Amino acid sequence: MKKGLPIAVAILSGLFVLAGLIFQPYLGPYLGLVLNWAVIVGSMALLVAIASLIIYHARSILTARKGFIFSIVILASFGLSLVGGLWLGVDNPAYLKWVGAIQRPLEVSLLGLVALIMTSAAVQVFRNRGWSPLTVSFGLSAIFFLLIALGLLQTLEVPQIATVIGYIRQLPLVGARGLLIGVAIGAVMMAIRVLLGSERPYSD
Amino acid sequence: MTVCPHCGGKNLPHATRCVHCGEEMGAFFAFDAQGTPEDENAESQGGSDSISEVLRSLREGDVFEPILGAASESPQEEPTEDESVEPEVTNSEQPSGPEWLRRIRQKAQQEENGTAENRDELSAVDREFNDWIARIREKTQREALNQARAADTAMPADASGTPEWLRKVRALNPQGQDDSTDGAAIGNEADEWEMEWTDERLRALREKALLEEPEIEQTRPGPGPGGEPGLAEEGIVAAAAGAVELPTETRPAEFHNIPDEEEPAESLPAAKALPEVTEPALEPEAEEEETPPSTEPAGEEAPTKIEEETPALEPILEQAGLASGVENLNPVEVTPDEPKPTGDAPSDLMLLRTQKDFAALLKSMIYQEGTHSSPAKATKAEPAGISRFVLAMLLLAALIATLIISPGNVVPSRMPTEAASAFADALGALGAQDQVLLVTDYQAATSTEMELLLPTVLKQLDAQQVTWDVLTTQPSGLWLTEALLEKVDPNNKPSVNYLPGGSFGLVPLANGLGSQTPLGEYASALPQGIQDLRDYDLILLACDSELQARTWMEQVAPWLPPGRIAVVSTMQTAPMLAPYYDSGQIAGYLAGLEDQAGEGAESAYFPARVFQVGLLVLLVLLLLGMIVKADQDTLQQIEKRGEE
Amino acid sequence: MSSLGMADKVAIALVLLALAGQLFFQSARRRAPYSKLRKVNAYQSADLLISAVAEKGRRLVLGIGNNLTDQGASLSGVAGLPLLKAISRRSLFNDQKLQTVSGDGVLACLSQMVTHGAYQNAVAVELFQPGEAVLAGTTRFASLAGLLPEVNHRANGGVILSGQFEGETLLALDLAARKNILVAGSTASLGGQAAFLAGVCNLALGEDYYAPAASLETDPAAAASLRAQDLLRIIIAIALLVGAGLTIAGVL
Repeated sequence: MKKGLPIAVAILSGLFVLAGLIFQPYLGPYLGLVLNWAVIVGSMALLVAIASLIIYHARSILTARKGFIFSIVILASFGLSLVGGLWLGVDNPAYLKWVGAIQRPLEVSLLGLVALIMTSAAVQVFRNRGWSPLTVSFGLSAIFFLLIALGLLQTLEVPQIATVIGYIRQLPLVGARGLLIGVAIGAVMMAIRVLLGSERPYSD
Repeated sequence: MTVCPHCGGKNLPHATRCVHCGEEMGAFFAFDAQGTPEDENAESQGGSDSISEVLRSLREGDVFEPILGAASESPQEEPTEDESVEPEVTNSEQPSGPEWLRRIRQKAQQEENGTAENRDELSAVDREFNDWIARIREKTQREALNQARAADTAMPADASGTPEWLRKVRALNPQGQDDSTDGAAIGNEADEWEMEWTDERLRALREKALLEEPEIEQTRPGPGPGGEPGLAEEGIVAAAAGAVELPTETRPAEFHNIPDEEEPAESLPAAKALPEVTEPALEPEAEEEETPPSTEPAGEEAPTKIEEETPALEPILEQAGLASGVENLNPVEVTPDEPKPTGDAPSDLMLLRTQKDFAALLKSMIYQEGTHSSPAKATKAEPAGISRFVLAMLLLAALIATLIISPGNVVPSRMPTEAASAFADALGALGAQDQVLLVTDYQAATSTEMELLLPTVLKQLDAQQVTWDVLTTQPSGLWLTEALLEKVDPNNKPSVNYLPGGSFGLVPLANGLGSQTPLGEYASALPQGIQDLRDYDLILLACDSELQARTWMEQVAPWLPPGRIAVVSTMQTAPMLAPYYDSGQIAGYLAGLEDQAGEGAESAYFPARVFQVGLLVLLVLLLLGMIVKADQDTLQQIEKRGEE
Repeated sequence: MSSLGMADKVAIALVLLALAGQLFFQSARRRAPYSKLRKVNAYQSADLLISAVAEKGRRLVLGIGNNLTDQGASLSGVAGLPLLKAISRRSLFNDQKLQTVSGDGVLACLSQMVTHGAYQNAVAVELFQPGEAVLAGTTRFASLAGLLPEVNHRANGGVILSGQFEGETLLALDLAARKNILVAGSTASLGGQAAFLAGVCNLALGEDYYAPAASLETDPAAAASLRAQDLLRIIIAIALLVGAGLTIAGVL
């Protein structure tokens, strides 16, 4: 019963959503309601996860675990953001600017670091992985697309070159489609397993 | 299932604590004349019979099993270690026997029944694991009984019937003896020592003995004339163990190879609970490391096999492509005189091969736990770290130099891509009567790129007098959109609506279910007069992630007429957008700074020179990496030939 | 949808085919579900990594990604959970506990449930600590920022990333490489796969990403799925070739 109930709920929910999408004229309002529940459950799960995170860091501080100073920073930032949002309101321009002034530089610098790391990874990818069809094709395609992105070839304004460039630009479509089809097949199979109750990501 | 005696809730057969009320289930290790739970707690300092303690007691059992045996009442048998299993199996089938053994059997039977009841519910792995744990427990009890019998026989009792080991314990701890005899609640002395030992009591005794060991060493006599090891050599526990000819174990210290300050205190419950006084045993252990393993009993090959298998893992890892850090995994140095698992499995254990493998693995883990391992070797400073720094600085220097030297905003004569042209066409087709929804679904990290692309588009919408609303699907989108609107400065600044629930909210928003729900939250995310996304002539999706783009394509696009979505995205998302554009599901897309479109796109800021220099540096480094690799391979081949 | 278009009919046919394949292989291979099953290299590496890390007494970090419900729902977000189930069963009594990191609230709760369940099945529920499965952050970069310190932990012996990861994960991969920590990973995202290729990592491509339970032999249904997936892939490839041929011939 303890394990059967979640499975039954999961299967029924999945089947109902499918039925709701197919028979929308009849089940549409109820489908909206079920999706609304999903939003509420998802939001609650997020709150629970955040609470768990706060407790984890609070314990780190109380037990003086190494690196607890970062836990203090996390909790202080969380508290300030929470109080600021509650006090000023989440649509307050000053509050939004304040949050943005902190979040944007942090994330932008992380992305900038990715560019730098990518530079060194470009050098090391062959050393780390050696010569294989995957790395060779990676290297060749990277070189071609970097050359095209430079824009120097396009300035020559030769029609044949433009045709070749257009053809090369279409090449990623092949790989992307193949990967998309593969991912979609995998998702379909997993969805079927969830609906059959044999895949239970929600249970232990 | 096992019913909790405190709250009546149902628990798993092996549960030691009730999952409902948290109270101890108790019965499994509770025997006759055992103290109250409070007494146990006082003795074991909060030691619940958790699985970790069971495992640890398995490991420490070699030392204390003789003590258990001294209290048993069947001294007539003197089975050897190898033979000890078989008679016990026979004994276990007899209805007569000690009360505690009967209870264990009953409990095992209940567990088997309980397991059978849940067999449909548990997965195959769970069943195997539970059964295996139960068998391990049962086997341990049997072995304990066998060794206890042997110890009892080997240790002569004095005239009063007190065993030798007990007299030694009493000599060591007269105060404790007084306490035990004075306490009326505990019972008389005979009852006290005849009762069965729990794991907690054994551990507490061991801890106490080890704590007092320094004092003992000062007063203990030297070895006897007959060469019989006295307490000075073996300690009280080892003396008891020696009576059954167990290997004289000097247990290594229970510390991990990772320094304590690196570890969360509660992440190592086993290590935390172990006594620190075991550490002095390290030195003799280290001295004995050179002892050849040939002194091991012949029948104790199981752990040796596992140890032999361990080095073989590294070639496998290398083969699997995981070799780059194998050597840095700190190897655990297993001492040669480490206690080994005793004997083979009892004949009544029908083990599958996988079960045996699991058992062997766990045995090795149990015996390796707490063994001394060398501290983590300091890894040499990576030369790649310097080269990485140099490369990064090179890139940065090139970009900064270009920014300084470059004449500023250079607008190269670039040919728009087909998708960008289609996007421009879709934008140009809008008129004053049309309504557009801008969906901001990007991160702060990519906002710089998005805010270079989006203003020209939005300004063109303003120029064409198109009405446009704004919706964001993530909390940070609130302030990101505000920042974007500040740059655009539209004629009529729209309010930014937030759609809660992420992608779950998209479907009702797309197909009009939102307005049909009793609460109607989704409809409130849109301005008045708009029922759902189908009311918009174009949806301008500004996203920086292929997954978000895919979500819109899969969840929203099927409900809209074809070509109703246009995408503004980053360059790295372009490969994922291309198939959707190719199949006509999206009207067009802009991906990256190159694809700017809209009002003033020709003169829009585009750091072309910096962009080109960055790409050039990447190109050079990529080629450099290939050349270096080829060079290394050539050198290796030359060295090989030289060696040949 | 009032009427079904051609694409809808093809989609329904594919789903029915997938369902039939799943049921067929599940029943036909009931006795030996993993016999002659194609193994995914990344998960085999992960399997070895789990053993090696346990053997050496080091810590294992499992990142299960983000985007299950937040910004873009996808089933790919839950693909890391079967792996978590398999690993947590095997690493309960390791010297170092498995550390799970997720970037989504629902995923964090699910990972806690799975870890707790593993302890419960091992009758050691009192050893469970919520800190073993934590929420790293609620956005992509926030979760990355939460993942980095976990990767940087000195006790680490290995990192497995299985879930929705984007290109910025390269930072974590690079950090692991610099610390000589072994990494195995799988993701459905193209950007993430590019990052995994550039970083030192064993990666799973395409639908192999969904096959951890089959490769680790922990779920017979997943093994049946993997066989059905391969069958579907062959059918789709043949259909594409036939369709292209018919288009060139002017029939379609």
